[in-house]
Amino acid sequence: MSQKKLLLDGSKILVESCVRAGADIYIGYPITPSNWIYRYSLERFSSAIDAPDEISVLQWMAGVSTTGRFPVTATSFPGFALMLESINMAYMMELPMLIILAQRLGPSTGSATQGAQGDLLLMRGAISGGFSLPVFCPSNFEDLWYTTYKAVNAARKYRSPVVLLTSKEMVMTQRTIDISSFKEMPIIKTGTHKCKKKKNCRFEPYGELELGGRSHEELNGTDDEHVPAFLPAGNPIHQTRFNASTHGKGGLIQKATAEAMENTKRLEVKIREMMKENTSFCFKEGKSKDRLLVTYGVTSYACRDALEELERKGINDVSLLIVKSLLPVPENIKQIIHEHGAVYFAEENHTGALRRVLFGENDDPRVHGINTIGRSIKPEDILRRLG
Amino acid sequence: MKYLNSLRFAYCRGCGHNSVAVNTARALENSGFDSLDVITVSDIGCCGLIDRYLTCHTVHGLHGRACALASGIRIGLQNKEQKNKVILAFQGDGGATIGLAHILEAARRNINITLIVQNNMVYGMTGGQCSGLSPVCIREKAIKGECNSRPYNLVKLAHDAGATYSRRITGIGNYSEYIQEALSADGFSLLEIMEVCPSYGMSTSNDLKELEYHSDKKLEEEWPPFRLRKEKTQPLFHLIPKEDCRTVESTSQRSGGACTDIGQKERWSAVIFGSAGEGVQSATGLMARSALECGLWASKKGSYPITVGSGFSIGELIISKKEILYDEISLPDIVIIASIDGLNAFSRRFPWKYSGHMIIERSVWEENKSSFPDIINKIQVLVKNFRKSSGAKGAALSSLVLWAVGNSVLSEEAIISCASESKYPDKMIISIQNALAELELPIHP
Repeated sequence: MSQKKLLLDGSKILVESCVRAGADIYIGYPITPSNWIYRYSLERFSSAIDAPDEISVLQWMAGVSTTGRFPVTATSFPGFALMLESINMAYMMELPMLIILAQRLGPSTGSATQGAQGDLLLMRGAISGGFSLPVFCPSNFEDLWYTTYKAVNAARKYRSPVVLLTSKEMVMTQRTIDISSFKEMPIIKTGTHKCKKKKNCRFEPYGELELGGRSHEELNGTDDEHVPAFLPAGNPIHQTRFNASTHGKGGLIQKATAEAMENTKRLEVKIREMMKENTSFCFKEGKSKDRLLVTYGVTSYACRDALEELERKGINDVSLLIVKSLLPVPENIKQIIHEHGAVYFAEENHTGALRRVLFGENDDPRVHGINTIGRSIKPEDILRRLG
Repeated sequence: MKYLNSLRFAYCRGCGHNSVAVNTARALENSGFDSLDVITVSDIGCCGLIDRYLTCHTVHGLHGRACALASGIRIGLQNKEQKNKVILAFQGDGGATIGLAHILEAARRNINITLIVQNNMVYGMTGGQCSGLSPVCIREKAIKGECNSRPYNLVKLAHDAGATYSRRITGIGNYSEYIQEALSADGFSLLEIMEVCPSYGMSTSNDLKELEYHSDKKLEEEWPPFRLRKEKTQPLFHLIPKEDCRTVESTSQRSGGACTDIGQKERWSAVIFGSAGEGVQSATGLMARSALECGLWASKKGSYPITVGSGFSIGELIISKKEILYDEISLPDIVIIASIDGLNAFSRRFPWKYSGHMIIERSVWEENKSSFPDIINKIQVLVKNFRKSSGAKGAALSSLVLWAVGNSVLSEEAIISCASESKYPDKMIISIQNALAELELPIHP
């Protein structure tokens, strides 16, 4: 196949993919290392606006999302921390949006220009009550194109904030990339409540669950009954309500009633359905199931290099799993991991995040961490453990 | 009433919020809006209980953020037919305190929403604690030892920040005309309504008049309301239809035929240590683009202090015959040191363990050679005076070109071709020519 090579940085691919996936407004507050995304977004999105702080960013995004438009922002840990309560709000209101998180070295302000993979556990616990916040993670430049599409579409279809977890080196390094494989993807829209206007017909903003107002065709053959149909704020057909507090089908506050609890529990079912449909990973199977190397994001490059080196040395009992749909952890990922003997998690953090998501605080003798802090994981770090 | 589905509110008896609900409904009705053209946004807290009684669209958010959330809705409703939608937010004095920055921002940008601040002078839901809008007499009794802390003059703050309309009224009787006035303002309007919380505020003051609050006149000076334009933009890069792949390839790598063979090596790497603002990043970027021009793969990354314009600047370059996966450089083929800042950064990065080749600026070498004598024995050092011939901003590029062309990594045609399309072609080409001239001279360590 012919190649079309360009020298690009990851931020450019992310932004271009967002716009082509139909995201139509960028709301940002600049923070390193997401600042190139901010810069390109102001240039590329048809509407873009600078907010005075990250709480405003998320509130404005939520407001925009109630009107049916799809907002995007990019930040890193300090900004994300400020957004947290408002992300919970958008999650509860069921408002589609994309939050790109470019990780940098922590804790706290840490080092703004040093890459890291330290925020996964924060994503895991971001929603109060232990509910799942969907997290996708591109592992290379091609993923930046396709995973972004996937994240935007999933957010819209399942009416939820979605996080795209990336890191400094993924968004700020320039690389030669063959873009001949980059293709436009179909856009899946939020299901809108369809009603032949009858003044007395009642609309329940969190109760219209049957196909979310969509036809089977629009749902790409899936039949999800956990996503409420959408009517934008200000629509001329029905009164609609959005509510951040515990609420029933009608969108009004209900304190822990059976109806409200059903509605709240539905959110978790919905997100799990989303991940089931959007499970994404790369699995290179070794000759045996003795050893599995698991990674995500920017560390995938080092793992791929290390695996090639192992093969050159004739060592081919190591399988490689690159996870791109990180949270909630899809069943297929768990299954692959449990089918293997020793499992090595390569992550650029001090304590092992994905390892702890999957195995908790238990010391399982078959689980090993390959970790660095303040520098990337090198192929040699992996070869030392697996060679 | 058209805007209310019940008059049996959940508020305490005597609570000012009862009259805010009635007066709001009256104002909306008198203004002649259709209920589905109105979107209300409320904070949590007592003021947010209004939702369930309203027949318009309702959005119920967080503590202190209703103004920001309402601003977002206005940003979303920018189409012509959406401009007439009415966006009305409710916050209490607590919400206005925690979200003060949002109110000032909405006023500064003059975002076309109306904010009603129901100031009952205390936090009603949590037990009557003070807010930033609590008057001195309440604060002195509630917070032991604290006195003379004035409340924010929210009306004046909003006015000074740029609100079209900003007014404080006493929430007694029929005051719907003021709400109507606020709703009709073209831009950000704020109406602070003074009330009493019967559960927590009454113990301090039974009479609002004691609090020395009075109605402000409408503050003059108007600013055009915020508008978000929607603009047509250009793609950051173009995709290629499958059938056009070959054509595009030949134009994007047009000088491919003129490129040198990078030899037996699969991959070359260079790290350039210099000073911020002295062209290190642009020189490294030019080399990466030139590699692309030659049909090779490249990666380029930069690191520099967060201040960007001072201290060191490091450029990292990999050029490879095949796709690059891991792109960090442990031991580069060449290190270029273009300034003292660069030397300091080099010594932190490779604390004298480096054993490859180096091109170093003469001035840096002369001043520091006594401090690292071992290096002479371990590595091959080329000492060059590019800061003199190419200037401080061109030295890094000259050194890179000397290395890349001297080792047949890249062709001079490709480099010049890319430089001619850069932002400062003339200066870059001078630096390139200075390097090419040096290729013909004998090299003395």
